[in-house]
Amino acid sequence: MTRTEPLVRIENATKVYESRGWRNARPAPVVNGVSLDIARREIVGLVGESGSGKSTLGRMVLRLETLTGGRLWFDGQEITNASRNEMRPLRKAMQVVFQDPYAALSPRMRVGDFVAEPLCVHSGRNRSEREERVAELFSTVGLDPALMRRFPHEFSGGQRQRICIARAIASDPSFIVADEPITALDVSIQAQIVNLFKELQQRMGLTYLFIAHDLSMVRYLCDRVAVMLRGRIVEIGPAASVFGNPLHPYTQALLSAAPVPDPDVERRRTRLIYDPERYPAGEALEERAPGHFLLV
Amino acid sequence: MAEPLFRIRNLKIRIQNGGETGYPVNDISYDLCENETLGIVGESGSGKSMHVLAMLGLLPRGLAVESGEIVFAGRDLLKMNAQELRNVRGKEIGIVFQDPMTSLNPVLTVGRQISEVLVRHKRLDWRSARARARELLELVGIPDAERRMRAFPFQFSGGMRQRVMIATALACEPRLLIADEATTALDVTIQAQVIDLIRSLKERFGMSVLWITHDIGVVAGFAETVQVMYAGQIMERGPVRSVFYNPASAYTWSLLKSLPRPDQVAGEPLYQIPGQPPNPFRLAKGDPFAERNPFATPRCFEERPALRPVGDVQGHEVAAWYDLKTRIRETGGAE
Repeated sequence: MTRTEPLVRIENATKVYESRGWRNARPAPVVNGVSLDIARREIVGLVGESGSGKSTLGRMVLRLETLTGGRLWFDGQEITNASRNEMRPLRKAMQVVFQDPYAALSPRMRVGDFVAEPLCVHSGRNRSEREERVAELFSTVGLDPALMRRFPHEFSGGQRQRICIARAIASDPSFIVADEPITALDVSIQAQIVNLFKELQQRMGLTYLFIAHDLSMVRYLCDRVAVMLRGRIVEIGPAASVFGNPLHPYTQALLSAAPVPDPDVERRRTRLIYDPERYPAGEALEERAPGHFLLV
Repeated sequence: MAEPLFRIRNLKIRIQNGGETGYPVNDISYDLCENETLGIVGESGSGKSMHVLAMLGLLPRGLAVESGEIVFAGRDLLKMNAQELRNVRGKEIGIVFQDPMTSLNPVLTVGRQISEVLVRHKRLDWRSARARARELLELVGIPDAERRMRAFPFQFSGGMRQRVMIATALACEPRLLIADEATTALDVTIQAQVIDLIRSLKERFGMSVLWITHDIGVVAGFAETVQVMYAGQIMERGPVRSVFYNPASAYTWSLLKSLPRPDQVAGEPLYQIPGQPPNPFRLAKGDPFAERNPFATPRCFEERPALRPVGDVQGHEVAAWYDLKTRIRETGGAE
């Protein structure tokens, strides 16, 4: 295994949810033939409208969803059909942070115990060692370790997201899927959390798949960005290249619609409309600029 | 300036929780003119939605107006009984909330729901109400309106449902349209369409718009006047260009600065506002933003500032004891 090999590789992945009803005999795939490599220490952003399949893809690379078709590797090991037992040692290395820090925390569990849970499962530490580690994790994410014994209702949204991040990094993972991690937070808190993600990535050498719809944050945080539309990646490339020179008409429409906090820019804006009827669905990704691919 | 369509004076809303009392809206006053588009930005707990609920007589249990007045077209809404308020709501004030799924009745067809507004408020018979409802659906850009009239809300996408809500809100050609996070749940491309739609309908009907959002970008493009709220108070308000390019409140300044710019150098951390959002039960006695404000002066912690004019820009006001530019210079910026 070489260092240049991607940490996560998903190839031609497809997900179809079987419909139980009698009306839709042939359901459309939610994720349709997606291939994506994520290098070590890379931050890949995933954007697209709701229903485009970005969250499903995020769950697939964690094997929280099985693949209907295609193959998946993590850290050089194929896990397409890995069993629960085979997945268990890998779970340590792959973690997730969700959108809603209110729903993610159990209201009846002390936040320290919530953060310690992965340690109980994945490591042989005893109680006092665990507590020490939790205190350390609290400091890492910018929370006072003295708050360990409190319950979730005593925390604000931003603090709760810090708690979720502390839990995600507790088992010392190499890969984190962050699914809309700042969407539910107050605007004045979003920069705090994005800075924390960035800082942890640098300090711990983490790799992220960052799912978001805030395009300006994706542009700021991510090395590469993939644009999803109806289950497919229609464009992928270095963030500067995709945002600076969007090639797919859908990406162009998306960027032209994103509000910018600048009245003069907003008033000059020309909005591009993406009309799916006018464009063919596309067959394969083609490289148009270094590392910048377009579905044609 | 035109006559104010409504006027809020010293509005204070109280919340009671066990033995604690909080003020989610803490003494706010402002006017909205005929034909004006006012964007109100603020985070959760800023009072931006709460004061509008009070205006509509829709405050949730546990909350009550403690004092103040809301005069709409010459009448104090806070003194009206439920029946009078029902006549104002929907007829003179149209409302679009964030979640169109919970605002629409799932067991009635869309056509029926819009028609009902017209039958109730405009005293139309069902047949002409139906015809008008169809026109409204066409107006808000729903294709194949005749067929969609017979569809139920769950058969619409999020963007289309929000269009239905707008059609319902506009049914009686209200003088004021209130949109409370109306596009927050929508994808950006759909959001842009809905905003364009409301902008064109505003011109057509000549109504005032009150646009409540936490998304500063949306307000930048759409509003004429922007009002920034925090902890139940108005921190700053004024013409949109003046507030964005020349913010006088440290809170406005911080919010704008914390957003990533397209030319932001990779690796350079974002400006982050320290601390946590305010707790309405534990409000400081001074400027509510003081404890998170790197430019705060001792007076900010002691006394609450009132709105005062900023420079010579008509209508630009700030609630602050400090002069922001001077403070930034004195402290060498915020890092």
